[in-house]
Amino acid sequence: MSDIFMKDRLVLYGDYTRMGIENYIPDKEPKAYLYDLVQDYPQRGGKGFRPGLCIASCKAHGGTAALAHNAAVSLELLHNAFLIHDDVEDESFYRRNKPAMHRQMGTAVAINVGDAMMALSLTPLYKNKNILGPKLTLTVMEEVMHMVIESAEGQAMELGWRQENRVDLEEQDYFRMILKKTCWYTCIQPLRIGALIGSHGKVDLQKFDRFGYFMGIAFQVQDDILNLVGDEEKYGKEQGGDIVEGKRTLMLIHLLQNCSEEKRNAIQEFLAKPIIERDTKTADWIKALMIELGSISSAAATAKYMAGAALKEFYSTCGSLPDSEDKQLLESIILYMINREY
Amino acid sequence: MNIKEKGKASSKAKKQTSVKDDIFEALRNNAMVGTAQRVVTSAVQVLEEEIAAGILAAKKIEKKVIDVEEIRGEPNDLMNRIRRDTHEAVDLFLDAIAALSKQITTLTAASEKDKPPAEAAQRADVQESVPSALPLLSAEKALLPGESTTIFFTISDEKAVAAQRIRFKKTNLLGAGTAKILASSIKLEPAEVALAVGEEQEVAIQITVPKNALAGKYTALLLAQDNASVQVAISLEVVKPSDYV
Repeated sequence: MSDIFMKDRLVLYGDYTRMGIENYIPDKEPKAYLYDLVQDYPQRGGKGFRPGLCIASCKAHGGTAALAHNAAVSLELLHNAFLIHDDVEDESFYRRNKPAMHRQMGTAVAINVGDAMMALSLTPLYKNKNILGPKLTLTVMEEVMHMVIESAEGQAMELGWRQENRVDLEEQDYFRMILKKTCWYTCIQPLRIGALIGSHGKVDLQKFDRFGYFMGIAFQVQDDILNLVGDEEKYGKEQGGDIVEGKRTLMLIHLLQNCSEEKRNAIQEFLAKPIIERDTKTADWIKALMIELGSISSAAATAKYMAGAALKEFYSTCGSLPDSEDKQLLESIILYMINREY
Repeated sequence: MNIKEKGKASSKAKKQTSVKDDIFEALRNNAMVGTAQRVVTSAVQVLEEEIAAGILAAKKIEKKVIDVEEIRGEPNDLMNRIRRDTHEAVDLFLDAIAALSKQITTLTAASEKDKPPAEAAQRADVQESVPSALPLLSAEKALLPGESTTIFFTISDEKAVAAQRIRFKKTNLLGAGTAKILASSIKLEPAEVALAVGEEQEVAIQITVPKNALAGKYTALLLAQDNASVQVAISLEVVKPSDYV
């Protein structure tokens, strides 16, 4: 499948999902400080990975896009709710080339919009009972319940590390945090939910765990690399923002493990300051150190290993499925995870 | 399994193929194979530990849910009582919760049915081909750092039609946050079981808590290398000497 076709397909599924979001936004007040803002992040245009994976997995397993529509809408609402709250927690400035919601509307309003989106995400899941039947509807709800709690746990791990200003973390700590914070809700559960719906509950869901996990790590590591060296306009966030925010990325963990004690102390001191006091000059110095000590190239290699492992899992878990464009889409997304520029 | 690119592939697709080739070429490079294998194995270990911890946590929640329902009586009555005074939108949501708690009750009841008898609290029957029932083995008492305990369980496969060899593997004991006890602290006797048809064998799990272990609850998963249906959760509590008295 060509790169263009894959992106077009992701856009198609993303648009289809965003249209569905509109159906679940109440047409009533308060609009200016709530319901109009619910559409803000989705309309800024994301990559559409989650609805794309969910719908493609459903279709590759014999279902239709319509069957997975409600689940995809719920995933997208939850994803954007997480982003709003994430931006507040990370004190981020930009999201998808625009000021983060809390920078535009204030923190209190942004948190409330995120809360509302989480509540709204329940309705399409509930409506599934008319389309999927009660048993499958409950199974999908269980998947989403697990996904949400894992994401919150992962976020808690990362926030805790930053609060304690941890500089003793290892690669496995990062994998654990990313499994919880990113992999379940970005890859594993969209794949599982899609396959569950497409196969009418007949597929063994465990087989998607490693596939989605490897894919999720490749995605997140690439995301972290792009934050450092990506094109700011394409990526949509401030370059090097993760360093300023003190995110414990694989690159930062590698750097802290491989730099001199003197430099580690200087980095720790920088990260101990409130975000507003962290200067770009020191952030640039940390980035230069990451390049010098091979932290970025090491992370890029890890992303490749994970993409390779994801491909292997894809061939063993989905290899027996009938050939289809959606099966090819799943394979293409793995490669896109490490080849993307935004 | 067909992984070839189609003949009509565009230039973009060719570029994509080269990325795939690039990945596999990188993995073919001897110098990289070791690193790739280490990184992927390390990641897999984390996934297995987290899935084991998740299963254990879910089982504990199920137990709590059924206790609460026993105290409060029939959950549907409660739902109906609340329903009379609520708005239609809330009413719809309650339907979903009622259905969900009914399913959890069913699941929990099935789980309770699969429990070993109370008098054999330290023993569990691990039956293959029953992947949904995950036996939980707990140490009889909390342990101090440096102490050891042994837990016994029996393994059998009523449905087997041929003899089989079961080679156990185990994950690290995982505690709160980043606390863990390495899998090497868990010894299995025997480490490998040759199970004849209709036979039942006893296995001992000896756990030695390292002297530097942090206090807290730990869990691990015991699996079989060639049989995904063998899954046993192991639970252990480590206490500080001051907590023990």
